Amino acid sequence: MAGGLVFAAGFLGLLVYGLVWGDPRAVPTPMVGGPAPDFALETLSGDTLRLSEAGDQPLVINFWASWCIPCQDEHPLLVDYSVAYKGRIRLIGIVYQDTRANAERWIRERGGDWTNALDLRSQTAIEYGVRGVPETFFITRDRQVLQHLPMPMTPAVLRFWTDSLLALGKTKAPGT
Amino acid sequence: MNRRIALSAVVFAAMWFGSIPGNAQTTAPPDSVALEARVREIAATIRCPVCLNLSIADSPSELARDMRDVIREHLKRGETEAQVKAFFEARYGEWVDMKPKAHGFNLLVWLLPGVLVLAGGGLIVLLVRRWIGNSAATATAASAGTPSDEDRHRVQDELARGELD
Repeated sequence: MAGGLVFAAGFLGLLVYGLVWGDPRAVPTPMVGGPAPDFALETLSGDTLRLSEAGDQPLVINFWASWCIPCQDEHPLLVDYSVAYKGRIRLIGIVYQDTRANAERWIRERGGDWTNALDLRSQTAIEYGVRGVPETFFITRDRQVLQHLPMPMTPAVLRFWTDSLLALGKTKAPGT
Repeated sequence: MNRRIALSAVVFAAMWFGSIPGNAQTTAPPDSVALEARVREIAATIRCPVCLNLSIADSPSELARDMRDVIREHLKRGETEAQVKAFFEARYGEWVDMKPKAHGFNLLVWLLPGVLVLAGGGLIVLLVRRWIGNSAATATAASAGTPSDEDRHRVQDELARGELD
């Protein structure tokens, strides 16, 4: 009887812990604090985009796809964001498991003048530990991953992490 | 006769030379077969990030297919299984390993089943002993309720007296 009560109490404790302190959307993101993996991808305009040659601005890398419903909601936010932070942050879109034609149509219909590159065999997505789309990485000037957010952006979240990027300046990301 | 032999030779030659390219196309080189076996072996130990508890060897998702391609590329570069798994763990966390390592919080996964089996065994032993004890007590109580010869005689006497009355 006493053993059963102890077992039930332990089980209940774990349940409460998971509900109160566990974030069901949280996934392990070991990329944070480490170097951003380099890549060389073909852009929608036909150029080659390399992380190592992406200038010295902080970067926001957004993985997206035209078949992704949350990406549809996120896109207008990114359009506004690219205008608001123009010259201070470089926004890069990486097209995940999609075709060039679909990506081009998406940009043509919804707007956006930032660089978008094609990751046709998901090699860059795998290098970044991407599980699905949309996912966004905040990369410091010295190309460290400040944050990896595997969820659609909201204005507040985008602003918070972008301001953190800008505040960091040329200092290294925490944990490096 | 000679024509028949010549015709047979032509047919045989056609079949022989015709079969070589076919064989070359359908039979993979041994190295390739061994590589695919290694890819599958390692893929079976890596969890698919977009599936419900499937390895990337078993998952039909595009990401799993692309991850298998990554394994193949790394093996072609001469990397070991440990290096390939370390690559995925560095990007997806230890979670990506289908068989959690026995340290830290993960120890629970390894120890809890044993602890539960021992606890269950102990509980069974405890219950069996209790049941055996109860049975013995019941038997004792039952034997304690058996009338003695004296009582039996007394009852018989009283019954007899009752019949007489």
